[in-house]
Amino acid sequence: MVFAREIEGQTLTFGVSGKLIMNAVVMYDHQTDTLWSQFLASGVDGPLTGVDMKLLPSQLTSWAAWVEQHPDTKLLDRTIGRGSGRDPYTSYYSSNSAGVLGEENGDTRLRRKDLILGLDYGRERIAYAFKHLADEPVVNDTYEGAPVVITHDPEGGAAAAFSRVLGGRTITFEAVDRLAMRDVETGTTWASLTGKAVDGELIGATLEQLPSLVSFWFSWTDFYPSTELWEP
Amino acid sequence: MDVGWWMSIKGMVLLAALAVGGFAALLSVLPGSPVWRIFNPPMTVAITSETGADPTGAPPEPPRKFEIITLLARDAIPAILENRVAFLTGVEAEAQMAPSDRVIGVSIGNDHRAYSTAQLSSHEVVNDTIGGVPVAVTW
Repeated sequence: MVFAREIEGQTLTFGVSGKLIMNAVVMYDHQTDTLWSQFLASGVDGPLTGVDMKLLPSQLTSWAAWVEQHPDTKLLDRTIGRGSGRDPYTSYYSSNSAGVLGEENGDTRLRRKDLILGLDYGRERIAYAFKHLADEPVVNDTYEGAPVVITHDPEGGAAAAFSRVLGGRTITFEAVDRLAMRDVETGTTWASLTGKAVDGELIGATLEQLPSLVSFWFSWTDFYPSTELWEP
Repeated sequence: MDVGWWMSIKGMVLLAALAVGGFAALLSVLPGSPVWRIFNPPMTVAITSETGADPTGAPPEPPRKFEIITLLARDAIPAILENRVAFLTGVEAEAQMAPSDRVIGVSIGNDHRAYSTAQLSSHEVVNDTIGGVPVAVTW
């Protein structure tokens, strides 16, 4: 999850507090000493309690799929910081364990460690399971009256959500190939994970990307027990 | 007077006390242990969701309560600060990555950056500026 560090007019620097809320990271900031919950995207203790963090669009994917979309990408030098670069959580991703604190809410609609893309519409939340998106990588949906498109690249293991409203009209998408989709109305081709029109009438246009996050199912349902789950 | 029996009992008591004390001391630094919890009690916070107006006009959700658990000392996992970030491109970047390695990718304007999730696991947070926007990349 990527957040804007400018909050209420000041640029904050974040550190790791060593605290957790339901197995998810709690940060603190050097400037105000507020505690910030990553999953809730808000201040939870200290001077900025209740202030929301702005979640920025990001993509969790494979290095190959990212370079394919952005050949001129920069990479954070992996020799920075400590460690061999081996991921200490490797066994956590593949095991069935719910983390150090265990889970609260055993929602069995999916398996515990199934990956989902979660969307937050104020009080309504909906999750799209990667295993469902693998069969339908471009989903035109309408949720709480807002037309959205959910896209998925099974090879990179990435997913994204965009508004389907562009310049006042609602558009509909169909998959072309792994990283491309086409809109039915104008035939424009779009990069499905970045939301940019790459060929056709609407070339240069960009869809509004919606804040969303990739999460394990158990974590998402721990935080949002009443979540909807999209079914194909 | 023969005080051997007393000395030996005193020795055993002392040893036992040391053992108990040592065990308690060990427990107090073991995150999540009962003694650790006495010094680091869970804190409960009430959160009100304020993610925009509800389109249905329904009344706001009541605050939810979340428990904050202290598991490690502050900065035990060191975040990467902005003065330490450095980036590679092209073949230098390729040399550090396998095609299937997971990354968090961020694009702001024409500034595209990737952060290895394996590297993020050791730091949890990277403070950076992308396309002029100060950001925290978190894992």
